[in-house]
Amino acid sequence: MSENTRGGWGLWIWAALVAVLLVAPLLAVVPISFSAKQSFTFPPSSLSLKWYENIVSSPRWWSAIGTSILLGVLVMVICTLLGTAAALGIHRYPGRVGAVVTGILVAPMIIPGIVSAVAIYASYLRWHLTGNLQGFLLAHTVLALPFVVVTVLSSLSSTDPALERAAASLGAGAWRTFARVTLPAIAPSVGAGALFSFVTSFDEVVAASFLQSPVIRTLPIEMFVSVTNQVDPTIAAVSTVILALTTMVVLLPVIVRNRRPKGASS
Amino acid sequence: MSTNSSGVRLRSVTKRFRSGTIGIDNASLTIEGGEFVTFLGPSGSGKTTTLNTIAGFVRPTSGSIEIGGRDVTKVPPSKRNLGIVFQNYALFPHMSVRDNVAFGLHGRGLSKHEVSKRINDVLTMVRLGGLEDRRPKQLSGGQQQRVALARALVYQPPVLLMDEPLSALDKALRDQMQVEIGRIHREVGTTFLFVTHDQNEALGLSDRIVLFNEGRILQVGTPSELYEQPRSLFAAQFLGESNVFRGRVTSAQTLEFAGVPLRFNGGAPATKSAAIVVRPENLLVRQADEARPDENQVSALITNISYFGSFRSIMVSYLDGSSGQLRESASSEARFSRGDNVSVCWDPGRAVLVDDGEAAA
Repeated sequence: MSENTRGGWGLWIWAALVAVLLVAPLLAVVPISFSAKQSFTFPPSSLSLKWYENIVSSPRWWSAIGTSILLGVLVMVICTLLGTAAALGIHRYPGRVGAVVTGILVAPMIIPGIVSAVAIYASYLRWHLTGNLQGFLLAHTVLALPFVVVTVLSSLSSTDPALERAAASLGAGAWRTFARVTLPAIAPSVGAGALFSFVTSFDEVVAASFLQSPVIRTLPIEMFVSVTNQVDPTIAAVSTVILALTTMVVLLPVIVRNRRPKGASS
Repeated sequence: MSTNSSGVRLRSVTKRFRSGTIGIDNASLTIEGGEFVTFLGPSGSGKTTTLNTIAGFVRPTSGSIEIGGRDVTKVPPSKRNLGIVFQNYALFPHMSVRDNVAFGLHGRGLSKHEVSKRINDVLTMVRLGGLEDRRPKQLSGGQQQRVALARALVYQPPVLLMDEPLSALDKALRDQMQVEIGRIHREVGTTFLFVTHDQNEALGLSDRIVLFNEGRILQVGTPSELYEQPRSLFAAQFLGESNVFRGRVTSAQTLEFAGVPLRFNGGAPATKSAAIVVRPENLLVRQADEARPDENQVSALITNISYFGSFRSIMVSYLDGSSGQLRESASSEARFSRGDNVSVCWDPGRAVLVDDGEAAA
């Protein structure tokens, strides 16, 4: 590397500062989760795994984790199917129809979360969709859908439109063209969209806090309730588990991609 | 490969786009099976739109299209059984060369053995043997072009459409692929429809050229017919170099150009204003007092002389301010230099009279 691509010391210090600011709170949570005392003192004076034991032995936490994962996976599957289909449709009708449909689908991304949440709560109360999985599923699908639509749409617009024409000229019908030509071309974006939609659901707090009941709570809501009720490092342990899981989810595709031989990566 | 070719027929095909612009204006055309036909014209002339209506990607507003005697106007592209080579090849990036070529053989009821034999044969024909497992990105532009040809020819379509297939290649490769495409056409015997804006490709490859401008077919003919007997000023100027003498027709045999009467052969045109077109190689330069009675002559000023080895190209400026050029064999001694006032002369039989300007169409 040459001197000018490396940047000076100033840049390095700035980058380190930003990195510390971003990561520091996370790095505080991890040691606290291993503390032996019932306090958030940092650094912990003695170590234990009892807060992790607390999670494992508590049905409350298990149920919340189960709900969140089940919900996340369902939202991911539904959003990926619907979002990809919607993006394909919008891409095919690029005129006014496409613009209007895009606007409607992407709106939840722009409308402030609390506004959506209040609107969702008000209507779901009437539809009897509060305090049950269907309600969560519907709300999170609406909120996560834009992420799939937007990523798939941008990938479609950068795909050579002649590819589909070529497939048609070679005798392929709509299904074969989609399965063998279009889908492989947009697959990475569909994957990214799926990941985004899972994370959106897993992470969602505002709508979930309106829709929750003592019977059904997602993990973030359970954490919130736990913090307001009692102060103990169980919450730090849960955070650490989530941190480990999400890091794995994000890193896994990167690792897999790097393992693949160079020629096949294109 | 076996010979399998179909004719193509357009009957009064018109395409009006939603914006109101006319893509194709009442085009009728008959292409015989096995012909190599080039659609030539500037960009926006309707040549690609016409090709796309034959391919089925564009539905004509009115008119009909027949391929091999079958009306395909409403048949989708996937059911027309045409081979198409796209401008940027449109190879499937995630597939190997073999899978790209095999794509069009799917669902044709061929045995595995027959499929691999066809792939091998076609790759041998386009001289790509040994590259079956490469991805398109690992190939050069010329090789990608060959894969595109192989993919479009492997199922032996009766018509092959090519949309500016050489425009993405550099000059040397373009010349080489032009020769290759000619060879492949002779080998497969399929009808080739080739879209280009490059007059040299059109002149060098085609049995016939279809000249397009502003959505209309201006002229159809062999390359030499189009070059030697252009029927419009546009045709004369788009194909090859020409010297244009615009003027008024004063009798059935003469046109007055900047006060000089010029003779022409053939009947008088419908319009009063017309132009005589002469190709550079049919013009002679003489000294001003050297003129002969059987020739037309126009005085001119030499503005530049370029030496090209076998010939000299002489740029001249005529009385009406228009410029022209002529060629002189370099084997004769150079008699003139820049700034000389000379006579430019030609045999009236070696010139063509065309309607002037836009009324030409």
